[in-house]
Amino acid sequence: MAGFRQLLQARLATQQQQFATHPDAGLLSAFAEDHLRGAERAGVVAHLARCDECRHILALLETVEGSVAFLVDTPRASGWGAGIWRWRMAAVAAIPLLALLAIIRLEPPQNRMNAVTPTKPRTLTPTVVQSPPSIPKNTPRQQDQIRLSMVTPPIRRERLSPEAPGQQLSDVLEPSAPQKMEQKNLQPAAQVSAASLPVIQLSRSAVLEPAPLSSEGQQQDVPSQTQPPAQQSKSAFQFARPTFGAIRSGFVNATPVASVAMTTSLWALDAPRDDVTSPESGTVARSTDGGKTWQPVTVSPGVRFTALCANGPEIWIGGEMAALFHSADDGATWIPINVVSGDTPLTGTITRLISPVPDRIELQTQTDQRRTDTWVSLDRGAHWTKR
Amino acid sequence: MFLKWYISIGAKVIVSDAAQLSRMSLEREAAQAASELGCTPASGDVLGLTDTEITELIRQFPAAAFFGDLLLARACALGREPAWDRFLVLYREKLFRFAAQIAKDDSIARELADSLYADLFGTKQNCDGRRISKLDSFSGRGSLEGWLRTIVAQEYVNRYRRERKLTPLDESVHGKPGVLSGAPSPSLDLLAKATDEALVALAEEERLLLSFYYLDGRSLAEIGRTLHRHESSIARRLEKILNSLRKRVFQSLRDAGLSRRAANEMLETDVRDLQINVRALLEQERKTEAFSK
Repeated sequence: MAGFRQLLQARLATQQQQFATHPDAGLLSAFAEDHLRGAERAGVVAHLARCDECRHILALLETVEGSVAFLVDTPRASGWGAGIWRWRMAAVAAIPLLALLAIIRLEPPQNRMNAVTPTKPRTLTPTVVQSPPSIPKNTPRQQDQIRLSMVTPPIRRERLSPEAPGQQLSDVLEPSAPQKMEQKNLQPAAQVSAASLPVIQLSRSAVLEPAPLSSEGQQQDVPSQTQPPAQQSKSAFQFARPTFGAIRSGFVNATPVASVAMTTSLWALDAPRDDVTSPESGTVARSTDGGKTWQPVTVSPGVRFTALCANGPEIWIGGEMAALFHSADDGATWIPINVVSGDTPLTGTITRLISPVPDRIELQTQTDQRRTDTWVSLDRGAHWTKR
Repeated sequence: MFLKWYISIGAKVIVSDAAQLSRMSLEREAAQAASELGCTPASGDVLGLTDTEITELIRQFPAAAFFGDLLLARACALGREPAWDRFLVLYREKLFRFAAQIAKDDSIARELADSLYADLFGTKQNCDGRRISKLDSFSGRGSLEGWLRTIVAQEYVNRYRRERKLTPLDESVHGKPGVLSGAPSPSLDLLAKATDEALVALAEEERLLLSFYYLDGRSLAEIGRTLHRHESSIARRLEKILNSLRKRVFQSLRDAGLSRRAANEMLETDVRDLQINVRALLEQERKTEAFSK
């Protein structure tokens, strides 16, 4: 190819001509400024292709400060009106692009994920409003429980539908990097009878902790149980501050909600924060009307709760100073749990509670900013092992 | 439904564009440009031009893209003092700077700028007693600043060309690529002929690209700036032209009876073996009437 290029160079040189007349300075400068069109431009181009002198002039113009290639706009382009005028066609062209973008954005993200994970047996889709009729409303949890692990779903309104037991919500909703960072501060998973799930407004850092229906399928009162008040201490946790729509109605006015458990009733925990001093901080609330109204539940006066989880009718609540309470009847009665492994008692604040199966309960404590301990019980809190 | 809506919006815009273009006739556009420069017919005395003269210029140069510059140049050419005051403020120093950047020598630049300034002012008079100014040839197609740059470059090249005519012939001949002649060879003649035919078939813009790149040795970026195209676009186009030319020459050689292998070998011939037609070189002196002064 090099030989052919040399050949071209030689033949081009022979075809250069010596012109008697040249384009005047006006035409050349207009060409350099890209103001020529049509036949005029074609004439100048044809001349330049054969006239090394005029090409040399153009090359010289390149060396001058503020080369002609970058000179000022034509007067047509000046003025406010002209500015709008110039962008009108571009704006029209941009409309379909923006519309397409908007359509893509409006499509729920889960739908998109479902499209790419068709093999998954169960999906959580906000578009499904009705629960499958094949699932009786009061069916116990064993068929259609889903375990919702720590997730930080985006703000949206959705209804969960049961289709595949045991699937992690995190399998469906992949949290973003910042969300993953927040996960360690969030609440553990719980099991839920999805057929009974109400419509619920999820907030960015709220955690779904659904609980199954009670076997009776009826709402139950929440009696308080007197417990020795645990010593209050300053929480080291930094929970996010979601706005749980239903809670706005009365219980915790704009105070943070760290976790929510759903059974026939909804359970919510107003997680304590260092930067928020609220009387409701660290308390538990319950809603029996799908989240429209909330009633505070006094499990143990003086104890600030920091973690909540549910598995069927079994509700677990943990708090500061190793306070742990268990209800096996959807909050009707509460039993304090003494967590000891051998001679080592549980200390610190319970930060996570996980009950993947009814008999198994796992908790995590944070004794200081760095250290986290995990405790596991396989017999509903009777015996514990520290890991 | 969205498509319908979009088409209707697009159609409305196109129709309104057309209407707007018709409303903004060239005359009005020119008048608007003059107005922005403070040179409306009502204030024409800014440059020493009368209303009639400005109106006449608008009529005479409806396609002037830089009407304000045109008014200034014409007012200067007519010898109006306010216009010259303005011109000196705007361009006197720039003129010298352009010359310095092109000539790269202060004394030459000063001489070039002074000479040009004299031409612009007009040292000769026509039969009416009016000075003949170079500014009279400014038509407002491009900016006055760009035009001034161009006449500086033109003047510099003219002087260089005048000086070059005094250099020995052998030096100037050696400066041309591919003029070394060797022993005449029918096959090389065939190759030269095929190449010339392929070059003739090129579009003018393609030939200009080749000339910029292969004859002038300009970089892709420089060519891109001159032609207002992106560097990568120029590179792609050059490659395309080169491949097309090679195929065309190859086909011509095959049509002339050469085997595929022989044609390929010939395309890689050392260019110094080429017999250059001296007559073609001498034809450079041929006069064309593409542009008349």
